[in-house]
Amino acid sequence: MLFLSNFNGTWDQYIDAFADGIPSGPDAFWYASTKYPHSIPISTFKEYIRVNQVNTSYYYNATPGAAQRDIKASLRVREGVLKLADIHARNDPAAFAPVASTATETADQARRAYIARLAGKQDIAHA
Amino acid sequence: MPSFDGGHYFLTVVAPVRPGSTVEPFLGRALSHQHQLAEKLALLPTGRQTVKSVASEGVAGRSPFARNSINHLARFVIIDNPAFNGRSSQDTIVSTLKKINPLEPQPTDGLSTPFLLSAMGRAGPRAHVVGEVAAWGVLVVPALFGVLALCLYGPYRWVMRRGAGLFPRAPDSDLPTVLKSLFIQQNFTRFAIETQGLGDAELHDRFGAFFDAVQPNSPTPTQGAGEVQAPRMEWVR
Repeated sequence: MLFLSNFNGTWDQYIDAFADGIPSGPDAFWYASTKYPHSIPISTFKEYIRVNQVNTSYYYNATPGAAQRDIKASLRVREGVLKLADIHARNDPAAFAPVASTATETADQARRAYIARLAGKQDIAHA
Repeated sequence: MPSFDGGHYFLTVVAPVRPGSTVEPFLGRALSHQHQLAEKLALLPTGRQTVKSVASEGVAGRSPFARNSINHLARFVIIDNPAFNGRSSQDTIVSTLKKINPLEPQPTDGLSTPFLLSAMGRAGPRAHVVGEVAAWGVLVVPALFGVLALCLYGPYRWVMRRGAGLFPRAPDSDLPTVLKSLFIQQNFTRFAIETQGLGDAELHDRFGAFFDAVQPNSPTPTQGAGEVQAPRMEWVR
């Protein structure tokens, strides 16, 4: 049974993710392997892997420094820039200008009634 | 063994390493083929892992895998021999009853020769990927014709039709688009920082200059394969 994969992170993080997330998966992979100790407890599992693993002699990554999530984020940025380019092509600087977030304003509106009710109660208490 | 996953193509090859050794013509020392292979792999340039990485200086020092635009990942491993995990212990009573002598060594697994494992993950234009599958087809198709004599024609046609189609690839997951996106992202970060607080008209003009320099719709300029950082573009300010 030969197992190889690519992972962003440390060796320990990878094995931890296996044992914590899908303990039955590795157990099925190594089912027929001699002296396989099962993925839980993890210390003997890691020891087994350390003894049996073979170091990679050469590794190439076309995007070093960019993990899977980084690449997905950059694809979203590219998509956003292309949308901006469409708006920019309309030659209307006012339409191109960024709009400030209205989240705070919306939150204030939503709790206005609650604040008013609370203020009314306090007025009665202080009267 | 080739396999597909969402239009990406994974190739795994395990090739035996020639046993024995050769004698160097200059120093006269003997070197095993396995040792020479390990030296070659150790000296093969990787991607630029850090900005200061000297292994990637200049085109000659770049990884050979960076010369094409379909390799995402590549790996070479020399498998010398499987590890020996020790003898299997047995129940004392059972082994005594079976008259098993614990002093006799148990059989161990071993390889007749070291092996070189190469594994690659690739994605690119459909023609590239299908072209490689066609090469494997040269080996597989004659075997399938042998099986055809024993099987019904209908199921065979059905299997071939199902096997001919590729799973759709995730949108924009080919390497040139990924590299272009990383290039846009890094330059856009600088653009976003420097344009904070600009007026509408000035921001509009500055984005035009940024767009002309970065050219998000064009394949170039872009980040090189195997490079950790995108080239820094300049635009009119």
